[in-house]
Amino acid sequence: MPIDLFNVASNLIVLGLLEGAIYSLFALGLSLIFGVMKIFNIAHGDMGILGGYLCYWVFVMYGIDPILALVLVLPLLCLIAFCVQRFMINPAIRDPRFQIIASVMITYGIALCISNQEIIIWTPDWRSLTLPYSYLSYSIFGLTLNITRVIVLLFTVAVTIFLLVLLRTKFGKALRACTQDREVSMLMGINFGKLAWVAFAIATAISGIAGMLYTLSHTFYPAVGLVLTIKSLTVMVFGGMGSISGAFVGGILLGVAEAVVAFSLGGEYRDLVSFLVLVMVLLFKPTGIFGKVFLVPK
Amino acid sequence: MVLLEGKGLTKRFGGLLALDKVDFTLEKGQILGLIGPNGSGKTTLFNVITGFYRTDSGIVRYKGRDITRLSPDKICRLGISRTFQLVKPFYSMNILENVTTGGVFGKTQNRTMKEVEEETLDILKFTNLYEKRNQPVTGLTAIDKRRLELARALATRPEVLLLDETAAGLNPVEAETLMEQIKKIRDKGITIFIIEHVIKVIMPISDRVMVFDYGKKIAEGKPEEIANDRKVIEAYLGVESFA
Amino acid sequence: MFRFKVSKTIIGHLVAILCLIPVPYVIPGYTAYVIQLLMYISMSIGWNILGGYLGDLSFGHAAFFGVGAYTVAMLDYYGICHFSPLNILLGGLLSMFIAASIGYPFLKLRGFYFAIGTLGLAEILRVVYKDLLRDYTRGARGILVPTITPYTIQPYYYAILALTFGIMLVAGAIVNSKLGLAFRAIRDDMDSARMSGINATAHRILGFSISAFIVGVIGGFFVYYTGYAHPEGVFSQVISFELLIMVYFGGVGTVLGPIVGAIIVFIVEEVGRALIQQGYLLLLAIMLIIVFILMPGGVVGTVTKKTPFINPLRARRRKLIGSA
Repeated sequence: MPIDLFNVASNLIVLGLLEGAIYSLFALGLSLIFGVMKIFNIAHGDMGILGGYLCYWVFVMYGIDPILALVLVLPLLCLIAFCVQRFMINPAIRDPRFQIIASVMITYGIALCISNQEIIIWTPDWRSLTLPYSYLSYSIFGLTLNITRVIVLLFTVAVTIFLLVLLRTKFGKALRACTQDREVSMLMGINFGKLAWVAFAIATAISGIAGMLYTLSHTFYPAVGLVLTIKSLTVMVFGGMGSISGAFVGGILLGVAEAVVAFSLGGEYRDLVSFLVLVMVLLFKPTGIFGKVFLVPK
Repeated sequence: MVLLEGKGLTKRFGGLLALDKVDFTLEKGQILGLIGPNGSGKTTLFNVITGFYRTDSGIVRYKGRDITRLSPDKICRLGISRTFQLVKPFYSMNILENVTTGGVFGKTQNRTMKEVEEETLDILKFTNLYEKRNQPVTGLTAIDKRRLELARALATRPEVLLLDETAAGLNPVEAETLMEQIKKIRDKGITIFIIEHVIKVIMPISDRVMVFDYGKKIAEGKPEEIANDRKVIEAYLGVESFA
Repeated sequence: MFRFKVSKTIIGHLVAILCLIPVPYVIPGYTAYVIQLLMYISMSIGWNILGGYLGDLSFGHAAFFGVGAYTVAMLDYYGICHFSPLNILLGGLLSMFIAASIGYPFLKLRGFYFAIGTLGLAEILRVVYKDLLRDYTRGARGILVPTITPYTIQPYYYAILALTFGIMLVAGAIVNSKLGLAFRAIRDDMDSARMSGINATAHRILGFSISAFIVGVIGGFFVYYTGYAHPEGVFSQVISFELLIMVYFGGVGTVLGPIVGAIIVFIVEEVGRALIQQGYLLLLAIMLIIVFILMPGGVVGTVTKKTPFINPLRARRRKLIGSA
């Protein structure tokens, strides 16, 4: 029946959209780090999920709502990111000859370390968050949305507005300048060190939020961090790095594609979509589909 | 006899037309020079001939055979070799090994290691690198890098040698030596196609000279004719010079 | 020029292998450790052929380990073939086949893209073996393979010893041959290599295939030895990372590097596991940092004062730098 089909389709699209929103947030953080510091942070997804795990933990231990827990978790996450950045990544990439290999390898190692720690502390079992209000749902435009989805939507909108505003400030302009040409920006008087820092902190915070959103709306497990990193890379490569709209377009497309595949073929094929898309894009059009992706600076 | 020729070669990079329906012919035993302002498509032509770039249209023929779509290594094994403007030697090897690589994989492959090495030593002597042959290539002077590049190209036993700005930055004495070397290479039977900015080097040794501007060939002829060609002077110095 | 080097290396390897022959009888308690160590050594050598000699860093080599492992497991489980050497060989061959078939498009990538591509490949294969082919591979439950000789460990030991020696021979043969020269040239500068007459793509596919074969074979052996094939275990990123760190710490691109690195990483892992249990991965990460700060050439590279393997993770460059 056509109406049923429409219902199913629109539900799929909306769900896919909201899934994709989370991917977009991750991708934004990743491309921010990459654009400014030219580091491809393989540990990005793991950091985000760590944030999710921490929120989960706070909730389980102290009963504090995970969303509120963000207030505590995000600074902690940024602190961890700072330590990782300063004591592990920076020393490794000091020699400019090895900068890219070293950054990729060391972040790979860090990703493994983080997921390993998660396995130790929280066991590799799949977990999920059930909040006292998890059963609430709303009806919007004829679609039923669970409250977690609505939360995801709200946060995504908030972060987007934040970023759009940020980019218009002086800081944002400096950020864009550094993305394009670090040396010239420094010659123009931009304090790169501090800027890189703040950018990293912002990116980590965004991924922490995305991680929390993910744990809110999915069952999660330690290894999902790397999967999320790969998905963010797919989004980045698909939508072009450095543009907010690109990240969203890519993320939403990925989310919808996954929803369709999960619906038609089964949930376990979900992750496969992004891996395949990534490999396909890398093989056939590594410069990205929509935008220019300078995945490797000259 | 026409050894190498190109017809209608066109290459676009996005909006930039790097080569615009370029024709050229290279006669056996000749030295053909190619000059033109920066960005006029000279190296692009070399890249197209040697298979590093794919042409958008046009054809390259070597000894009558269509080589337009062949890969660089195949083209090398057929007998066309080139030097790169920015020399990037095999950094983990010393000079001898660098040149030997060209000899091992170049045109004639069924030789024993000993034969290759002997020929390599001759080439090193020819390019004044013999004494330094066991030095690692990291930290070579720019001139020695050029010599190395020439040696490597020669080691592949080419019939056609494409030289890309080998004289840049040389002092008059070195330039003189280079010109002698090029003439000797020609005397050995190798046909040469040379890109050069240094007019003093290219004019005396070339049999014919082509001039490029904005991807088009704007003049071709004997060096003396080209030197006095109005279009050429305009391309280099601008139209106002005649005002 | 070349022949002298071959003798020296081969003799060295032979001596080492000969020394190892009496282990199960002299220090029987440690046989299991040495088996594990030999597996590490041979896999590192395999990885080094692609990453060190050829310069294509693979971040997902566990893909081939897993394929080799599952091939053996499935051949045995379905009773198709119980002849272990053949199964292991087939495991290696399937890995090699996969490498060769995806090799052509994959090797259009270079450096960074290639690394991420291999990472993606390992993950894809993990999901494929775990979910897609669930009906055939028993999914996450894994496949149990009955041990061939339940009471004696010697056959396993000598099998892996022989395999390791064979792999060392292969690597040694490559290094000092025309093939090795081509590999090095491609690693150092692909454009110059092509212009010297080297078919870079064909060589890289070959290197990829050989490397995949080696690791696949060890994967097959692993299943016979431990008796269990399981997607999270055999396609694990930890394996991929361990290979990376072993070769880099030991000295990427050198002949002895992977061996030295494997030994050191093995020791660190065992000690780490005893002391801080699961946190030993952190030690490995720290070792990696040490490599980049102090000794980019790895242990072997620094000791022999060779130029460290400088191959910034370049993306594929079709454009040549410098044009007029």
